[in-house]
Order: sequence, then C-alpha cells, then structure tokens
Amino acid sequence: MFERVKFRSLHARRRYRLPMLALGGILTATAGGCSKEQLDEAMAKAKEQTQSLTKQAADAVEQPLPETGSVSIRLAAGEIAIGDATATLFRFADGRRGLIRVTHRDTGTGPSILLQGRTGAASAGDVRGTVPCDLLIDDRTTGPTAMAMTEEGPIDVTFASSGDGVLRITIPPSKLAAADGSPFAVNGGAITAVIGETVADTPGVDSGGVGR
Amino acid sequence: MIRVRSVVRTAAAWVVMGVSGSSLVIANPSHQKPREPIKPHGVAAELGDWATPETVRALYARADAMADQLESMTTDDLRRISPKRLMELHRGVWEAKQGARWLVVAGETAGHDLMRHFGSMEARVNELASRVGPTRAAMKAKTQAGRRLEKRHPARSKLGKQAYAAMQNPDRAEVVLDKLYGECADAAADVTFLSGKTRSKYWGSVLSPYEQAFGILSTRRRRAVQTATAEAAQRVLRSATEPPVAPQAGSPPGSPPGAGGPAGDGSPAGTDPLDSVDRWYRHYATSIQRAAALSDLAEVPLESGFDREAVGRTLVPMVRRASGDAAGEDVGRSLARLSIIDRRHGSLGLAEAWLTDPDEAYGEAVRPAADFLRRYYRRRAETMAGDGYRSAKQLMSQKQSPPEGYGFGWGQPNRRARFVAATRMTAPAFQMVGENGALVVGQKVVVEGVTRLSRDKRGGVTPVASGYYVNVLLPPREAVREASATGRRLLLIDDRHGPADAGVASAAAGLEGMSFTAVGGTIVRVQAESTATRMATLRPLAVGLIPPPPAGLVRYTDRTSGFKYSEAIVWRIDVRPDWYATTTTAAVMPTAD
Repeated sequence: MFERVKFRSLHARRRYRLPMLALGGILTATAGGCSKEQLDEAMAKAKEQTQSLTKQAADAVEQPLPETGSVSIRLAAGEIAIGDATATLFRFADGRRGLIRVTHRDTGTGPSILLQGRTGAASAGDVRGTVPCDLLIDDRTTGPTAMAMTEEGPIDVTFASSGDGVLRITIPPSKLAAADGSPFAVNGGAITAVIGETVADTPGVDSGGVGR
Repeated sequence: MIRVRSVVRTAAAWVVMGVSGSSLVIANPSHQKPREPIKPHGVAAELGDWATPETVRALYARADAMADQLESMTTDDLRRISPKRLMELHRGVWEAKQGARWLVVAGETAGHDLMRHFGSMEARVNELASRVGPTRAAMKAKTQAGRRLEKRHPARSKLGKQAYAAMQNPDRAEVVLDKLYGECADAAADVTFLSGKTRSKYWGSVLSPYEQAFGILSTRRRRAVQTATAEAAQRVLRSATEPPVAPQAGSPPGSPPGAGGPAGDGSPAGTDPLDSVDRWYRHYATSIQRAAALSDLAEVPLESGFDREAVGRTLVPMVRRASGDAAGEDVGRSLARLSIIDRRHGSLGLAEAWLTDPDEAYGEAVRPAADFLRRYYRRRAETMAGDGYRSAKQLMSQKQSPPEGYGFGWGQPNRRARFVAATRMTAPAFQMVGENGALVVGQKVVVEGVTRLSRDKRGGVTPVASGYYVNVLLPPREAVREASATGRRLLLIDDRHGPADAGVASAAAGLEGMSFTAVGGTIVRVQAESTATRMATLRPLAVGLIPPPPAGLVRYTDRTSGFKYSEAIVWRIDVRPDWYATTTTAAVMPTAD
C-alpha cells in the first residue's frame, strides 16, 4: 500500500500543483507509521481534497497542465496506478518488425510496468485496434509474486487514438505468470499514454540520438 | 633404483594387458573410486623414470597392495601375522617411500599423497612389529635376520665408507645411491624386529650414506625439475600469442572435465566465422594459466599475466573481419560467444567490434525488457532454489569434522574440522575424498555462473574458486532455446533477426544456452585433483575454469606458510541438474535426460 500511496502523490505532483500541501499531510502520516485504517481515511480525504482543489485550480487558471498519461491495472489484490505513461514507436533498419512500447518515468521505488507489442505502424498514433502485447509488472515489493509477465504468450491489447496526442490502451483480463511460477491474474486495465517521438536508426548513418 | 624400475616394468605390462591405455588414463580419486592415483602433470617426466606418470601409477598400485595386506593383519590374533610378511612389508614400504620421495622432488602432488600413504604404513608396520616381536615365530625370524645382518655387516660398513668417499664427487651420487639401494632394502627387511641402537647400527651403515647421497641427488634433481618447469613456463608463455595449430596434437596430459573433443580445443567442426577467434582466445587464456601454474610450481615469478590490451589488439580486428559474414541468428550465436570472452576481461569490446553497425533504436527498444527479464528470472531461480537447495559455495566453504571410517583400517585418522574444499591435503587423498563423498554427495545445491564448455558440448563448468569447481551436464542448447521463447519475443529476436546491440550480448549468451546464472541439482560425484596438474595441463576446452577478474588466474599465493603449490588440491564436484536459469529463462531440465 505504501508504494501506491507514494505513486498517487507523484501523479498529483506532476499534473496538479496546488494539492501538494494536502498530500504532504498524507506522506507525513505515512512516515509516522499510522494504521491502515488511518491511511485509508487519509487517502480518501486527500482524494476528495485533490479533486476539489483540482477543480478549483482548473477553474482558476482554465489551463490544465499538459497530459502526462496514466496507468491503471487492476489486480486481485488491488490496483497498480502510475501517474504517467509514454508510448514510443521503434522502427528498425534491418527489416525487423517495429515495436510499440509503453513505459513510464521510473522512480526506482514505486511499481513499474512495461507493455510492448509488435506493429507495422509508421508512428505510435497510427497504432489502432488489437495488438498482441507482452505485459510486464513489477510492483517492487519483495515477495516472489511481486513480478509478473506474459510468459505463456502475448495478450490482445486494444489501442485507440483520437488524434489528441495520446493513445488509449485497454488491457483485457489476462493470465500472467508470477516470478515464482504461480498464476497471476490481471483483471483488466487502462493506460492513457502520451505519444512520444518515433525512434528509428538509419542504416549506415551515425545516428547519435535520433528521435531522443 | 633397480627395484623401482622393475615396478615400472610391471606397471607397463599391466598397461599393455589392457587395464588402461596409457598414463593419460589416470583418473584422480573420486568418492566412487577413492584409490585412483592423483593425476600427475608429468613436467619432469623426461628427467627420468623417477618422475613419470607410469611410476605414479605403479606406486599407487603398490600402495594399494600393501594397504590390503596391512588391513588384513588385525591385532586380534597376533599369531596369525606372519613375521616374514611383516618383514617384507617393512622392506616394501621403505622402497615405495623412496619412489614417493622422488615424486615430491618432481613437484608431483601424487608424491605428497603417497608420502602420507607410506608414512602411515611404516608406522603401522613398526607398531605391528613391536606387538608381534615377543611371539615365538617372530623371535625365530629375528634371530635368523640377526645372523644375516651380522654376516653382511662388515661388507655393508665397507660399502658405506666407499660411498662417503665416492660422494666427494657429487656427480657420483646417483651411482652411489643405486649401489646402496638394494642393501638398504634388504637391511630394511631384516631390521623389522630390531629397535634402537641395534637397528641403527645394522641399517645405518648403508642407510646413512644412502640418505646423504639422496640429499645430494635430490638437490640436483630439484634444480633440474625447477629449470625444466621454468623453461616449460616460458615456452608456454611464448606460445600463448602464436596462432594455435589445430588440432592440438601435442596437448599435455590432463583431460578437461566433461566430454573432450578429439582436438580438445573446444572448437566445433563447423565453419562459424568466429571459430578462429574462439580458438585463439582459448589457446591464449589457457596458455597464460598454464604458464602461471608452471611458474608457481618452479617457484619463479611469472613475467606476465593476461595482457588485456594485447588480447584486444589481436581479437578486435579478427572479430571485425569476421563480422561481415554473419546474418540473422548467426549474429546472436556469435554475440553469445563473444560476450563470454568479453566478460572474462571486464570487456574487450568484442561485441561492439562484431556489431559494426548497431541499430541504436533496437538497443534502446529492448533495454527495459532485458533488464526486466534478468530480474524476473533471478527471482524464479531464487524460488526454485528455495525448494531445499543450498548454495554450493557455502557448502564447500564450510568447516566440518570429517566423518569416521574413510581412512586406513588402522590408526586414528585426523578428525580435526577442516574446510570441505580443503586446498591442502590433511590426510591421504583417498580418505579426504571418501569423507567429502559422505559430506556432500546427495546434497541439493545451487551453482552460480556456469559456462558451457563449447557450443557443441553438454558439459558446463564454473571457474575455480574457493578450492573447487563444478562440472554440470547442461541441457542441450536447443532445449534452452525452446525454453527461451518469451525472452526471444521480448528481445525482438526471431529466426531472421538476431540481437542488434552489444548491450544485449550477455542476454544472447543466455538465449543461446551458453551461460547460466544458476543451476540447481544434486551433487553426484566428488573428486580431488592436483591443482598444479589441473592448471598446468589445462586444455583450451576447459578455459571456463579460469576465474574472471579480479582473481583472473588460479595462482598460488601462500608460499610463506611452507605449503608448496605441488601440495595444493582442488575439488571437482559433479552436479546432476534439476533446473537451470539464464538471464532470459528458467526451466526444469528436459525429462529426456
């Protein structure tokens, strides 16, 4: 739970500036070692505050900060929520089929996911419909089930784009395998990913950081 | 020396009779066959019969025969011990001990081992003699022996005096020694039931000059051995950077672990463009290791170790030249091979040299997946290891009291706690190997860092560290490839497209079934070897036994303790795997095995 709390706060920090003070309270409470009930209560309160403050903020400046994307993956034990996501399309010089890859800023402590699938699309915005993808999850707790992966084969993930610079990605309920070999169920998920620049290497040309 | 030579002839006949093909068949003691000889390096074999592998085998055969006799002589009923047999044993032990002493001079670990055998036997014979002495049969034998000794005494005294005179010229020491040998042996039998002053009077008249001659000759021979060994070290060192001639016809005694190819250099018959790189590297690395072992054995410093820059200077252009010919999956296979060489030296940049035009988009695309895979399968391996497997390193490095019942059938074996993978003999090798069999065989262990001997071999090894190495029968490469479907998919590798970035070279080594982060299995066999022999005769195929940096080489650094390199032993443990893990997969062993 602790990790997720931190992640929500990160989410908040990136997208909204005003609620930082309210969230600071949660972090203090968490660091102080409060009970789960207290934490949940604090969380709910903060969420409420955040929403209301956000509305106020939006109302005040009428200028929402740029979309950073988000990840929400529902597991039996709870939800993995991450406050940013970027979709990058990779194209390869040797005729290898391209890759659409969704990653997020990695803080090194919170949960992390990686979604990737092969596509012939020319850009990330062109990726539409069903793409067989691998989903890799690491919630960065210490247990052997904390990492999971589509070991039995890719899952059918749906991509949609409405031309607003983001991809809306739907993950169906899927069976993954945990690192200890046990089954790991994903009850579904949704990712909003900001479309990043396409990365491609030009054969024979020193490509010092093309698309980066 | 005449008797030793006759023993040698006997052994040679035995060899011809088909018991073994040649001295190369000497196998090293294992828990299943503890009485096998410690394999010699044979560096001094050309200096004379006294230092040849045949002599080693003959002396072990003799040790076995005498041990059997001694074990049959229990002290329950002293009348059943024949005084004559005891006298012959006293002679035999003395003779055999002379052979073992020369093997020590030759720098053979087997010599140190045999000294323990014959030392223990000598003590047992003397103990039995003092017990049997008062019996009527022994009194009679003693009287007869006394008469013979008295009769020969004037002649022996004269011989002794002549010997001292002759030894004024040290060049005559060998002749003197030969002359005295038979008299010493005959006297050894006759003094069996004597003690104190009478024993030293009769035996000493020839034994004292014998010892003096032995001292002169052993100093000379030791010098010759050191010179020959140091020269061999120089020769091997010089040849290190010469392109190896394939096949390696003159490869020295010493078979690598696992199955060995005819050439022993681990190069497959195919025409892979990197074969020449691989062959050069294996030859170079094993040559440096051999030279290091030989120089330790000769007790002279080795002028140079691995010259990382020279390796890079030679190999990088070779790799570049070869890289044009590769396509598709060959790239992955080649990267796998190069990554193993690269890793052994920190990184020589071979993978980068191979990928003359890397696809940076590819490198960036697969980095997160490669990182995830590595962590994921490390956890999978930890989970598999959690099912009753313990660290092989921890098992081999712990101190244990040796279990009872593995020594000679007499005396009190040393039961002081020792490291399981003891690097020095604290008892005869057959005893230690029996004890270690009881301590580790059947244990479930996790072995880290296993490299396949070569692409077409099933055997894998770990580098020598903490006094042991592991030998594993690995899954076929095809099985690893099949089990790596997820890894291949995540790294965007298919039949036509290999890894296109040096950053995934080590992942390629996993995908290709060349290197394994962990193997879990059961110890099925334990074997003791001479470290000097193992390292001085290291074949190119066994390059994986050389430790990676910072150790870099198996060196002998403990000179100050008076513990010679030739006394050092190394343990090989054979593991039958249940499961394995690489950076890109983890799986149970295929059931077909």
